[in-house]
Amino acid sequence: MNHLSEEDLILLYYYGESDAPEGASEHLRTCTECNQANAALHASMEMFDTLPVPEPRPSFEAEMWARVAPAAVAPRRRSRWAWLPAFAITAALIAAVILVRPPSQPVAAAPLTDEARQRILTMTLADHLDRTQMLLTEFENTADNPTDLEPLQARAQDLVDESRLMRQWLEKGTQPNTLAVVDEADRILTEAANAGGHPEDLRMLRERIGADSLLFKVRVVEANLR
Amino acid sequence: MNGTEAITSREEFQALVERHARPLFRLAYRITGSDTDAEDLVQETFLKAWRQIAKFDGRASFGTWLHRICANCSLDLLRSRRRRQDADSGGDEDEPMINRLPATSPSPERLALSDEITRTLEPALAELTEMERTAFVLRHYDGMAIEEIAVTLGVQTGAAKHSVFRAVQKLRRALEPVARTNV
Repeated sequence: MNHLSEEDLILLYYYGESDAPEGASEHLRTCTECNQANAALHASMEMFDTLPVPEPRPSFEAEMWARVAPAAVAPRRRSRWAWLPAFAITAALIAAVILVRPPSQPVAAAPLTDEARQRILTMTLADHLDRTQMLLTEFENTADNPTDLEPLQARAQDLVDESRLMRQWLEKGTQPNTLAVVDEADRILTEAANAGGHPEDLRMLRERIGADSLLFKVRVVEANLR
Repeated sequence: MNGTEAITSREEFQALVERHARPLFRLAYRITGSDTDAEDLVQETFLKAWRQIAKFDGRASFGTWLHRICANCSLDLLRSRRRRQDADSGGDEDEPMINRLPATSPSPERLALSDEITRTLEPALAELTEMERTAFVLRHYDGMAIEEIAVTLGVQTGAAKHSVFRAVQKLRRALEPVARTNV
């Protein structure tokens, strides 16, 4: 039998990828040359194993969760337009994450200023309120038909999920009125997302939207943000 | 949660982030050779995993699924960086990867880690093509089978096998002087 090739030694005998051809194992046992080649291969492979990898700092896992958590909202029913808020939020989060990196870490791109970051988050919130407003209007005008209601409820749930991020940001800021309106809209959206298909449920929901002048408040806050 | 972990809540996802962040960092670091890139790639991996959680069918373990995502993100990063640099420099397909990596000053930790093998092997790793380096890291350090590497990287089994072989061959050639002086 011919001597074993370097490829055979690496893939078959070192990594054990597939069955060696007939007679190869016997040849390896008896051939001094192949034995030496195999021993040299193992010595090289052991050197690969010594290549060090820097160990991340002890707080790495916690820091990573802090970077990932804002995007990890509860799994939800997907509406046809669900990618729209996700796209807006991801864009805002990427910008925000760049800014919250520890100062010792180099940042490849020029960092956003705090003002730019605030602007991105403000526009994201305005967009969120715009979609809230549209959805509440649709709830007010939809027919009492459960088939019509279901996609609206899925969108309401999307907005509720999304608003958690908004509230986290607002709670750190100085806009208590905006936070109050987002909270109020959230309560109605939660009710809307979980409302039964009964016409009476829908009637009560419409009454609440109208009674609290919620649409008006959302519109005012959104206009101020823009 | 073990093996085929089912992700039903944010808390479970947090537990998985905490469990897998460090192994993913090592994988991304070995492929990119940069700790800054590795951290960003771990984050990108988890964000992608969360967005694609519905696609996780449980046939592989969650860890394996994450490693596949991380390997692809790392490979994409290296390729996009090369494309950008090729565009800037007029394009040179044969340019070794070492010239395409970000020019970063070695940190004190990195300097402390240096020894003869590291000094020889790191430039040799950077000389590999993106595919060779990724396939080699997945096979040698992650213990992934060739067929799985092929699926992960979206190439034929033969191409994955060849990439691993070429990588080992090139690295061995680079290590020959070190091996000779240590005999």
